[in-house]
Amino acid sequence: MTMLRHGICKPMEPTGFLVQFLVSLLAIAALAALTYWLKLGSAPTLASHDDARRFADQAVSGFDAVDCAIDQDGHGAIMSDAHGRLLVLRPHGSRYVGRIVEGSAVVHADEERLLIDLGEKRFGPISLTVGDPQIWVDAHQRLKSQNHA
Amino acid sequence: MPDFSPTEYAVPGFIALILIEIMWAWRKNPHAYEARDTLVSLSFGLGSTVAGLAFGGFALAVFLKTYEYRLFDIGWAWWAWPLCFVLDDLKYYWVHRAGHRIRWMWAAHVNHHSSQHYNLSTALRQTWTGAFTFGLVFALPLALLGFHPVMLAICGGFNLIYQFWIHTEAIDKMPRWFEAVMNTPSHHRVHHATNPRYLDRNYAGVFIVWDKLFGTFEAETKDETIRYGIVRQLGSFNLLWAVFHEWIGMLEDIWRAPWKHKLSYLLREPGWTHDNSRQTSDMIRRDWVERTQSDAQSSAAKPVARRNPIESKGEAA
Repeated sequence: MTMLRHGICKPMEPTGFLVQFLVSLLAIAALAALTYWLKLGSAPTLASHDDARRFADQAVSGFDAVDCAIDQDGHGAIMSDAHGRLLVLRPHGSRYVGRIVEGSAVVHADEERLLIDLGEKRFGPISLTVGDPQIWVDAHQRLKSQNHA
Repeated sequence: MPDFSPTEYAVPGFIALILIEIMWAWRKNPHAYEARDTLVSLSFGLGSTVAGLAFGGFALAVFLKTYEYRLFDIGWAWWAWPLCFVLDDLKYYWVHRAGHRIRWMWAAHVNHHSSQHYNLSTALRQTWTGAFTFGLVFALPLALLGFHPVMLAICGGFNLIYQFWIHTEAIDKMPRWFEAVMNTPSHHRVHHATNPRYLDRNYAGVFIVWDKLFGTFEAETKDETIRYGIVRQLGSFNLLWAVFHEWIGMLEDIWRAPWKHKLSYLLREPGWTHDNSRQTSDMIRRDWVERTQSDAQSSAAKPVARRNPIESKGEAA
């Protein structure tokens, strides 16, 4: 839909606009509360490597995962492709978002948890409980070495 | 001169239809809505009315000034209304196309696409920053031609109202004759998709014929599940980030770019970089086409068991 639609209509009285604004605000809160109350759009869980690979390809077109570790609760995954690139998936609402893990990211293991900070403030840090997180820390180290080479 | 703003009257209808669609989602498709996404989308809608109030005066002044230099005195004749509506929709096609192909314009329009959901609340994800683009310029020829700015505003309002109902997954296909001429939920789902085959397609507002005429039409296929949003999904429900993220990204790119490339970050397509470090939608589609063709060729050449190189653990790619 377009821009500049509202601009050239007649100006509204300030009081009328304020009333309309407050009523709209109430309607917005009510509709969002209704979707929450009806439990629409619950958080997704990754059920299989197939799913993880499919979502990875959707997040970064052409990302062809050859290795994959899914979080034990299904709340995300980390994958690598044949070129050694790493991709991390995490839920966003009832969908997934994915990012390539660049060499500049901070990746470390804490017992069974893999902790990733992409340096992207709004995306936030990611914590995945995977079998052997050190494998992925090493993969990231290799990636950093390649970038410096 | 008529004194009428159709969108104001439509708002209660918008809310009622969203309520009906939420009920449909509850019964049939619970993932069609998500509370925080809905909150962001509707807040965009409300904020855009405030932005319209704050910056609309400038647009009005420009239109009225341009109208003073009109070529024809079209006035308020009955035939001017349908003509204005059709020409305004043609204008919409081009301003919308520019909104996807010029990063400066995309910075304002991306808001409408940043939801990973596709429902009636998505329709209300309207920009707050359109006044800071040059979208206005596309409409000026109509005022110069002699269409009164109020007539243009009313036609634009009805155009906007028409586009509301097509933001839904609840309707599959309309009758064939309707799909052939009009923009529909099916055509517009394609427009909101990030699947490579669908990127930058179906810019139409009301009449899909513009896409067919100008070579940007793509029909929805049943073979591929649509995913919605933007190429690099936001991953945040922060409203202000959703409003300004592309402006910030664009300004950062301009700041960092060598002087000879600065303007290109403003005027070239989203995803363009001087060092090819990102991909435009054309690049993504081209790579996807190459991969698809290559996969088809290797499938034809190899025995079935070796068609998928990463299938060693018994899993599909």
